[in-house]
Parts: sequence; structure tokens; C-alpha cells
Amino acid sequence: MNGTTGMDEPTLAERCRQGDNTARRMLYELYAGRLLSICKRYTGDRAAAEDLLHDTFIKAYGAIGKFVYRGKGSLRAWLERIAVNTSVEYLRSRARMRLSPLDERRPLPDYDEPSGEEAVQVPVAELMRMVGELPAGYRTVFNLFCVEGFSHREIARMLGINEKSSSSQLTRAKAALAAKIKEYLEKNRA
Amino acid sequence: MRRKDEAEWTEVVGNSLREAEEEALPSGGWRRLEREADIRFSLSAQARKRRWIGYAAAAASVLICVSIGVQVLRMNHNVMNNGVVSVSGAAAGGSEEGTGTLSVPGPSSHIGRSSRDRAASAGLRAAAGHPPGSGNDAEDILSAGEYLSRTAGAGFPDAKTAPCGMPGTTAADAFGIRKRSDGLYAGRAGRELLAELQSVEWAGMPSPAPFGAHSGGAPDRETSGKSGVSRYRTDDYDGLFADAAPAVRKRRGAAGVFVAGIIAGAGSGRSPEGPSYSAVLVEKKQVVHISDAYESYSFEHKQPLSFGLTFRKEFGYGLSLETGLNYTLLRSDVGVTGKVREIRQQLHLVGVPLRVDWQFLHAGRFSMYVGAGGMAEKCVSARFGAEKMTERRVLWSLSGVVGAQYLLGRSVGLYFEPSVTRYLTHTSLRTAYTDSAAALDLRIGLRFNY
Repeated sequence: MNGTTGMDEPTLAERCRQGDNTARRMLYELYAGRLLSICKRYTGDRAAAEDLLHDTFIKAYGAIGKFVYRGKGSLRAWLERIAVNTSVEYLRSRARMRLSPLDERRPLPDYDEPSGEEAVQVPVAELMRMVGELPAGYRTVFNLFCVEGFSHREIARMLGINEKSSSSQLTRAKAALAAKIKEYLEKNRA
Repeated sequence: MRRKDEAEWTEVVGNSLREAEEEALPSGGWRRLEREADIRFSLSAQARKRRWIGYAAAAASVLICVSIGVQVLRMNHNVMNNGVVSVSGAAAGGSEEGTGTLSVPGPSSHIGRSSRDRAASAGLRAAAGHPPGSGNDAEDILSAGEYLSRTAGAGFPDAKTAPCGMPGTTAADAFGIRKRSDGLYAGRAGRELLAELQSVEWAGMPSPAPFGAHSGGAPDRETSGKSGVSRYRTDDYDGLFADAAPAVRKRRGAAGVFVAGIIAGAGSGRSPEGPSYSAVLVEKKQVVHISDAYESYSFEHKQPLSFGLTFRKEFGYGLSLETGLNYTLLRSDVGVTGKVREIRQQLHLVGVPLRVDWQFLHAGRFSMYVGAGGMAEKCVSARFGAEKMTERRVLWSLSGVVGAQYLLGRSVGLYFEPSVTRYLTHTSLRTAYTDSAAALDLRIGLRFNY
């Protein structure tokens, strides 16, 4: 659906800024699917994700004046950033992540990792489900590091934790996810 | 190698997830978004223009009401002219000098009697019942009854030949009020009574009957025991005094205060507009999230409280116009999913009502009326938890009332006014008003007649 509209990114953004309802709708239809996926990935809960999607777009419409077009895909990246921020903000509220120091004391797990070829076999919907099942703290760090590509330093700053915590959360997240993938492959190999 | 594998599988997973796109978008998602975006970002001049049109319409209607009021007042004042007291209705063409037309309210004219007419009637009664010169203001006022009984006995055939109708005779003369050397009429009391008499209401008066039809001595008197007001049969006097056209309408008014607690209106139904309010609030350290889930929060609406001032202008035929200033407080306790403590939501509304009332019953101190009207309200302040909210829209509502008033003193009335109100426009926030089809309200207040 991307790139098949009559409007290019800078025009679309400009029209949204002017309050053009058609442009806003187009923005929604183009990017809602992807942004909803992001929100779902962070919250693990469809209802909350839909709320966050709504919020994301409201923020986007409000802040579209500040968007600067930097080449193809920059609008998408900008929107995705808003979605991620909104999701993280949501998770940070109500202390959903429970990144307690107690957690840190447990020894890091040793886990059996899937290979790249194995991982490819898992459909995206399943991966989403698995990530959704992770505890909030693991999930967030995993998403930020492995999907969004932030460094531990940046993650630490975003979540208000230290880098070591971020790193250990990631390891635990990977361990849990690896186990799920293995489990899935076992079930579906037969 | 292990590390390579590790990087690979997470990379694969990461890539898959990064490109993921949900296919099923939330139903009605765009509609809600559009509505909220419209509310929040109504930067278009259109929205601003609409708001100004609303203000202009409100101002115009207020101006119209005020000018009607001023016109009526002016009609009244045209009557007084150089101390010659005369009364003429608009239809009569208002020739003032030398004509005196007065009316005494008959039994049918029981509408909205204020303390002034009662005073006037009492004056007449006193005058008729007591001899002149009793040493107080009655002295000047008096002789009305005496005059009437005299003229009744004299058997004037019709209005024109009655002394009152004679050219050159003023009503003041007819009532025996002394004319001073400087040409002004004696006594403040005299002028006051005449002024009151002339402003007395005509409503419901039977058409003038020829004087000759009612012969006989003293006028009949009906005294209503409780209030002590006597009512003269106008049939006897129409021939004397009546002008074919009604005299000046009574211009009375009242100011008042009231309090109200709305009985019904609290509910848990869905708001008909389905507000799509989405905001991230901050309540100290916690972030409370209002979103589309707002609809699913549990609301416990407290009884709305309101109080205010009323201003009433009476227009005759029992009709009156009432306006004023209302303040209403809407409170709700909101249960937000996931939060243990409930959040207090408060809205402060200020409104200007406008209503037409019709008094259909008057018996002594007790009177009843029905009314219908509307109100324009604005939420001046709203709060969800600790966060301030804004409601931009003007709220319009229609209401119907039934009221009962009991006069405590001469000019103070205590009233009970149950009413039904239906809101035409709603706030984005859910309140006792949005969650019910109509609000039942019981208002208690005082009216001070002037």
C-alpha cells in the first residue's frame, strides 16, 4: 500500500499540517497497519494497542508541523518513532515493566538458541504472539534493541534504568524467546 | 559458530517484526480519530467563525429581549404627562389631556398581582370604607369609593357622560385629589396611587357595559379572606371608566435566587455521541490514560448541583419571561481500568437560561405556572483527576417546567420548580447529562417582586 498513492510524502505531510481531512485519512490508511503492529508488539494487548494507535495519530497530526522530510521513508520512520515513544511512555506509566533489581540477581540463563534458518520458519504472527507473551520488561528491551535498533545506552536513558540492567533484560528476553521458538518448531515439525 | 547464530536468529526475528503490518484495523478507528482531530485541531477559520456566529446569535436574542422590555417600559411612561394623570392604551390613540380612564381589576384579573396592585386595591377599599380625612395618606387618596358610589347612584347613562369622561376633567379630579396652586396634584400619596391605578392590569376585563345597566348603590365587593384583597366587580365601573382599549399593561418583574439538585440523570448508559477523547494526563507521577477506553470506564455520576440568579419580567396575560445566570457542578467518580483508586472528574458549567412562563393559577398567596425554554451553557472549567480539560462547545438544552409559588410576604415568593431538561449538544466528557436522555431537576428558590 505504501508508495501507491497519488501524493508523495512531503505533500501528504504538508496537507495534514494544513488540517486537510482527506490527507489525514490517507495518512491513517497508509500507516495505521504498521503502527498498530508496533503498538501491539510493545503492549502485547490488542485493546491497549488500539488506544495507543489512536494516540499516536493524534500526536502525529498535532506535531506534523515539525516533520522535516529527509528522503523516502522518512515520514514512515517519523511516525514509527512516535508510535514507539507513545508505547514506551504507556509502559513506563503504571510501572508496567517491573524492572526490579531483584530480577537482576538471578543468574543469566543458558539457553539453546535456534539457528537463522529455523527462525525464518516462524511466521510473523507467531513471533508477535511470542513477543506479546514475554514479561513487559523483557519485551520492551527486546523490541527496542532487536527491532528498533537502539543501543543499551539509549535504552537505559529511555527507560530510566542503567545499561547493565538493559543488557541483562535483553539476555533474559532472548532466552525466553528462544525457548518459545524451539517449542513452536517442535510442535510444527511433526 | 554460536555467536553468529545468535546474531542471525535475533536479526531474522527482528527483521520480520520490523516489517510486520496489522491487517485488521480497529473498526470505527478512523471515525473516532477524525472526530477528535477535528475537536483538537480545529484551527480552521470555519470553526472559529461558527463560534462567533453562536455568540452573535446569543447576543442578538438578548438584545431582542431587552428591546422588547424597553419598548414595553416606554409604553408605560408615555402615560404620565405634566402631572395630568391619564391612561391610554396604544390602541386608543393616546390622547392624553383631559381624558381619564382607569380600571380596577375585576375578579377575572387575578393574574400576577403584585404588592402594588394590592396596595392600590386596598387603598380603594379603605377609601370606600372609610370617610375622608382620616388623617393619613388615605386622605388624599380617598374618595374613590365615595365617588363611585355617588356616581353610581347618579345613574349616568354611559361612559361619555360620566364625569370622568368629560373634557377638561382629569381623573385626579374624579378621585377628588386636591390640586395645588402650582398645578401639581397634592400629596405624594395621591400621585402614587394614581400612578399605580393607571398601571393596573386590564387583562381579562370584560368589555364595557353601559353604565345604566347596573344601577344601585355601593359597588359590590368580594373580599378574598386570606389575602385581604377586595375585588370589585368591574361591570359596575366599566361604564364609568372604561376605555374600549385595554390600558397599559402591568410591568412587574422579579429577581430571585435558587438552588437545585438534580434528582435523576445519573446513569451508566452509553453516551449517544460516543466521545472519542484521547489524552495523556499526568496525575503526579502516574500517567492516567484517557483514550477510546474512556467509554468503557465505569462512571458514578454524583448528583449535579446548581444555583443561580433569576430575573423575571412579566408581560400580561400571565406571561412572563425569565432569564438569569446559572452555575452547575457536575461530578463523577471514574473507575479507570487498571487503577485501584477512582478518579474524580469535575465540570463547572455556567449558563444563561431563557424561558417563557405562563401562570395559570392564582389563588391568594399560591400560584402555579408552566414554562418552556432553553439554556446556553459553557463549561468554564473541567478536570479529570489532576489534569485540566477543555470543553470548547456551547451546550444547548431545552427544558419544560411546572412551578408552584407561595408568597411569604408582600413581595417575596418561595417557589418549587420541578423541570425536565434535555440536552441538545453534549460535552466530550461523560457526565450525568450525557448519560441520560433527560434530566429531572427540582429547583427551590425565592423571588423578590419589584
